[in-house]
Amino acid sequence: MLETARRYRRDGISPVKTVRDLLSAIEVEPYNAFISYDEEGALLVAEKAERAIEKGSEEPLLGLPIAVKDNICTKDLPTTCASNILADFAPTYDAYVIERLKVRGAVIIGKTNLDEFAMGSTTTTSCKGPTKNPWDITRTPGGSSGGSAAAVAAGLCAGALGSDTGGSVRMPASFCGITGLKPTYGTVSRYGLVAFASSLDQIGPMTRTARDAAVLFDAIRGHDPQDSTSLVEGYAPLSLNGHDLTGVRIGVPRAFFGEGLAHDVERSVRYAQGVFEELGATIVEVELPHLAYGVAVYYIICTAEASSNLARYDGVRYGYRAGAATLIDTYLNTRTQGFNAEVKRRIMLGTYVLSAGYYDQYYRKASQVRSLIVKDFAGAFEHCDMLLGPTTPCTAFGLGEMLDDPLSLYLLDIYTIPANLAGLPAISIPCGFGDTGLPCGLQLMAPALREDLLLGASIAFQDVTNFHQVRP
Amino acid sequence: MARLARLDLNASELDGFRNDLDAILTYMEKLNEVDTRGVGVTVHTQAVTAHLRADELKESQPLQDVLANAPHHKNGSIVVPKVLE
Repeated sequence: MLETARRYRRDGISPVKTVRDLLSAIEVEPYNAFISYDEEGALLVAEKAERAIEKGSEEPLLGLPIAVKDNICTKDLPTTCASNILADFAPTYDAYVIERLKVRGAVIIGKTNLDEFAMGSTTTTSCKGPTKNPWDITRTPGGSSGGSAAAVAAGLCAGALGSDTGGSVRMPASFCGITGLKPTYGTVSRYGLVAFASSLDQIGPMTRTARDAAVLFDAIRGHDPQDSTSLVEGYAPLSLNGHDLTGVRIGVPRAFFGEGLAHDVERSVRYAQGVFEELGATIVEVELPHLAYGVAVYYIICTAEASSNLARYDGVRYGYRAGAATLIDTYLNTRTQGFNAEVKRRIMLGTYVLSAGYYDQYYRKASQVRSLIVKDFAGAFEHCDMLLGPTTPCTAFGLGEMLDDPLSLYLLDIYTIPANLAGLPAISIPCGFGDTGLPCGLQLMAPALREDLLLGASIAFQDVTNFHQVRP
Repeated sequence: MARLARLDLNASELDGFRNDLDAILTYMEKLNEVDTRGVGVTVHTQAVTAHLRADELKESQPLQDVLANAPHHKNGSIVVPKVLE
């Protein structure tokens, strides 16, 4: 993003030409990263930006082509959630984050593919077909924000927005070799983000560099009265200088390096740990005793919230409606035909764990263990300033792999889920390449509202490494 | 359960889901290892309470725009099959 902004000014590159070239590239892109785009609207904004830049405007986002995950509402433009049930849905309003980007003069270059309703880790459950990883088109880009990750990695946009409920920004960022930030719960308004699991969902930036992530995050955060969980905070602008890591304590949870972690990912993460030490950080070992329960807690809470949130798709007010003689059959047929298998599976699971006879055993128990996970983090942050570990247990796998084994797919989220359960900020940055030449991701986590620390440390890391500059 | 979730699953779908959900719920039983006596629930990670807005009259979205997304509407109302005989 900063590079594109520089080229607009230093090299006199035209925003209109840049946007037009990208739209041509998006039309024929082989990754299925995009679901839709609005050529006319994008060019109109680009023309305005071009004139403002000619007049000397220094607004960094002016004319920057930003891709947006298709579960974020864009006024009058299709927002499908990659689901047949919203195939023809065009919102009547912009999400808060879209308003913010438009005010700053950014160009919404297109809407990107995702797992249906953001439920998945592969971007293969999309009703629009799977997205392919630009590093190897036979592999998954990760998910659920796989379209945004692939678009950034392939250079089809300057930056992108994703959403992260259990790792959906960080995981595809890791698989596609880009930077992805999951902000503190409440810093970015969820107004206009189609709800999946409301106590976990956050919108986050997906970019090539940590500096770009800081610029995009700065643009989209802020208090929004339209989201009752939006924090009332006055945010100071983020520094684009690397954080001085001298004396910073980085905690390494032993549990992050246990069974199930691929050796090539571990090697890359340990290398990155060494880089941070060279930059002056002190490594301390910490414990997160309840980490092993994160996946079980998460899939109870997120499916419970999802089953409730997705009850609104009844074929009455908007979206797909299946014909039927009675209202109850309208609901049944609409939902049966409108949702694909993974969404149905999660609705069923959520309905089960919330049902009268099982509520205490599952939902209540999970909410209690969630408290213990929150406490684990508080304890760990008494001994360190940040936590470091892998983002994912492995590098990108084949497109068809594991699809018939939901539990194994759920376990891929083991390192990313805890930050969502505790509402903490976390970032994934490229830290090396695995045995097959695919990118590996490093995850840093910090106490609430310490994105400055995550971004500052990531910028410092990227100033002395070049993993983020390698292109597919 | 499917009926409660307003889903109409056929026999093979039900079989598949039954197997998946069995495996997932068995995995979730590992939570029973954790002693949660006296532990409160976390349904939200924010210490603050929800922010309330002033109860002021505001313009809502134009009816025509909202209805444009409705599968079936007539005379400014959304139409559904008859509920009462």
